[in-house]
Amino acid sequence: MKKLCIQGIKVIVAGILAVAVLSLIALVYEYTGVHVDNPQKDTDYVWLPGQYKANMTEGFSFLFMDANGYNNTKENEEKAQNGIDILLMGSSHVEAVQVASDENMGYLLNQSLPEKNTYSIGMSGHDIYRVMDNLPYALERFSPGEYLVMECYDVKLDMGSMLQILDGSGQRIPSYNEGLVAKMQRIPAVKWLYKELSTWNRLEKKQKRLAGEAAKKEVDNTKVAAGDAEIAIDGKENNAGDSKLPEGYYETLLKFLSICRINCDLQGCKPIIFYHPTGMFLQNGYAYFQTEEEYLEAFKRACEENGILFLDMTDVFLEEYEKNHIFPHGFSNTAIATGHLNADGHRMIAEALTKLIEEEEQNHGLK
Amino acid sequence: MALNSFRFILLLFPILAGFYLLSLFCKKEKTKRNVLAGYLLAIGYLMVAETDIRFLLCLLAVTLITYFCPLLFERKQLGRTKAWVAFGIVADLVLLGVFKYFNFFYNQVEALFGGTKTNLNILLPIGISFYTFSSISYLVDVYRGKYEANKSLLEVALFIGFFPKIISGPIIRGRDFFESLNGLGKKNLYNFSCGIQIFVWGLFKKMVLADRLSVFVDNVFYAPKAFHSITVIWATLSYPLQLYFDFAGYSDMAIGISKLFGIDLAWNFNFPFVARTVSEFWKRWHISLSSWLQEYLYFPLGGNRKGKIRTYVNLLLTMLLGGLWHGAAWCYILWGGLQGLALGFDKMRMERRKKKYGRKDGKKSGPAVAFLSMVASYLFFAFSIIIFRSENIMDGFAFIGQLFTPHDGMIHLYTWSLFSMVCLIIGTLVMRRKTGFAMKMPKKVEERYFLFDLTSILGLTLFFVLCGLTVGLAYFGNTAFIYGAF
Repeated sequence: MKKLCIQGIKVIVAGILAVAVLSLIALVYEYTGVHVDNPQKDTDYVWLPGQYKANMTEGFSFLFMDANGYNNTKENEEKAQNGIDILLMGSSHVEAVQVASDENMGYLLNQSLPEKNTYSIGMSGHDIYRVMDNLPYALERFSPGEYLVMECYDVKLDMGSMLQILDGSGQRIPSYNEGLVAKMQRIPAVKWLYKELSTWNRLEKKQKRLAGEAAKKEVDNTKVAAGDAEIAIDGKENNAGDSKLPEGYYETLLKFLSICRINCDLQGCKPIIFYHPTGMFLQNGYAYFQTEEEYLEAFKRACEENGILFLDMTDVFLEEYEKNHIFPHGFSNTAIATGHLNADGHRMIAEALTKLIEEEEQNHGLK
Repeated sequence: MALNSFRFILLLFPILAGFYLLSLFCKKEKTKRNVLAGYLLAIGYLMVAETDIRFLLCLLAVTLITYFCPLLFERKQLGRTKAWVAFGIVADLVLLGVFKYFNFFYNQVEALFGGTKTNLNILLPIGISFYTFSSISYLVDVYRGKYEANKSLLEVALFIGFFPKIISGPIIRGRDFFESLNGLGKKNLYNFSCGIQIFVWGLFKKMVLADRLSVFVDNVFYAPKAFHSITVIWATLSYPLQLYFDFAGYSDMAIGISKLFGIDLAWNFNFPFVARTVSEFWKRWHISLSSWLQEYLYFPLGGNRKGKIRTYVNLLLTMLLGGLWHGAAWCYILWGGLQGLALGFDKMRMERRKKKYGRKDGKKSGPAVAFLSMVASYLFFAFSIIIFRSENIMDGFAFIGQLFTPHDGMIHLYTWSLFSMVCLIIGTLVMRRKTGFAMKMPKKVEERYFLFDLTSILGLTLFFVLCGLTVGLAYFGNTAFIYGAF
């Protein structure tokens, strides 16, 4: 009994020491930090001011969030204090914690358009639905004088989600500001391992479900059939037969995007949506960017009708791949063409946005 | 249920708890042995049935063959006729042949006579390649008089259906396994301490190293034309590591789990990448298969006792069949043939050195030559398994062509490959101090691994850190065991 108690104490002490060691490792390997509810609602949550973030899971980066809890360099942050001209909104792609702070599109836009102040409030998990829901508050808080740039990684939107935003029942992404969960997530090792274990469990259940289903719905890079290569020669998928718009889809989309038009008109800034499709490469060496043509056309039309500038990055990505064999997603420690925008992806988007803004200003005699 | 699945790891603890409780309650040695063996067998059968109940039928068939044939052979009243053993071996091979090779050979015959490809919808029972070979080894050993047939159906059934080694081996031998059953339910704490660590080391190899490498290797092998030559070379150098960590990781998991129950399984890998020749490589890689091929195929064919030419033919034939064992496809056969040729070449070289220096290993080589020999062996293995990895021979040659013709494309120098190489080097250097890379394996499982002292705070801390790193660094995707497909 005595031996058992002594061994039990040793296990507890060793456990605490192990958590300490793993926390040190997590602070270098993967540390996202703590996010809290954003009372100002321009995003659902923000990181703690000055939050340190480490990332070696997708790319390599070590960052500190700014005083507002967003990912902006000190330079961008200081410039923004004189007023914001271009506000960037979007998901983790815009948040850009996978790349160095001087490689993200916000920083690059400040360099390529030095006369304008660009500020990014990109935040993980904030897809186009969350962006639209938070848009009025973001405009009120940051008052961008010239442009509101929003990110979209999928033009095939979900009607249910759009309707939720339209009727005000969209769900905010929760944070855990209080209680045991809040305390536990401050221990880097606990947060890291909890995230990994939940991912493991979730993916295993998903794989079991998919294995049981007759048709595999996920697109798997390694399993593109030879036949797909034939239709993908120009790099764009054309599944016209499969992607008829559901009834009422276009009307809903029009209304959904009008949130942007109405609020930007009130603010006096021009809205831009840039779309960056997911790509893959084929056995014949060609690249292939997945977009269902009908949905893309519908999105383009809806943007046009709402006075939103739409930037489709597909051609830019294709050209870069064909010239320089570079994909906009993927890192040296992940699979190519998967995951978040890499430094080249941010560069391409920043260049394309710069070109679009310059052309817009030329067309309207603003320069 | 894969050994590296979340579900299995959750289930392992109640399974272990049940085992330890049973071992506490059973006082009599013989009863304890039978109850625990029965418990493990039931777990194994449930796992196989959960995958597909039909697989259980195949397993039961092989079990009955393995049990009855040696007993019938040993019955003096039946004249100890080897027909029973021959029947057992043929029955095992027929089962293996039908499930694994029927479609392949049928298609070859059809192709010869100009027919269209017909494929029968035959499911490959899980682990059939491994347990049929275990069965054959047992039948032959009893026939050769190495030991008597085991009269316990329960133990023979467990020998065939022991769940940790069903999916990907190791291919266990009868005598070793039955002897190790003596350890069932004994020294539970000690076995738990060793077994759980070996299991976690195996998980680390599989989920952190092998699965991370698979992300990169699979992409490049799928579309080599999309990648720069440098990337293709990097993938070629990464694949042996992936294969090693995947298979060695599984073996470690199987050995670790077995140790939890007090059973010592044979080891399967002995630092294969320190091998300086192809011959040495095959004594260190997938040892349970290579030793099986040597004992039950190469030696019966005559080994090296029937002259030089016959020796080389025997080597080639053994490795061709060894390649075929891996799968029903020409690329496996060709890969096996390459290994056979390399072994023959090695043998020739050793004969020459023996003539010149009076010993097979020739003059003792310095560290630089030793290192270069290891690199050469690694490179040979890396290039030869391109064919093994490819969907078909033409794809394999196309891939090899990409290696030798400068080709523009995506440059992707995957960092996990470098990390894996560093882990391999560190692990090798650490174990060098422990085992000196001896060819002869320590009998005790725990002597083959770097284990922490779990009675000390430092040992426990390091073990918990290892567990944490295994979970934290693991890749969670669709990553079946490579050898599970064989």
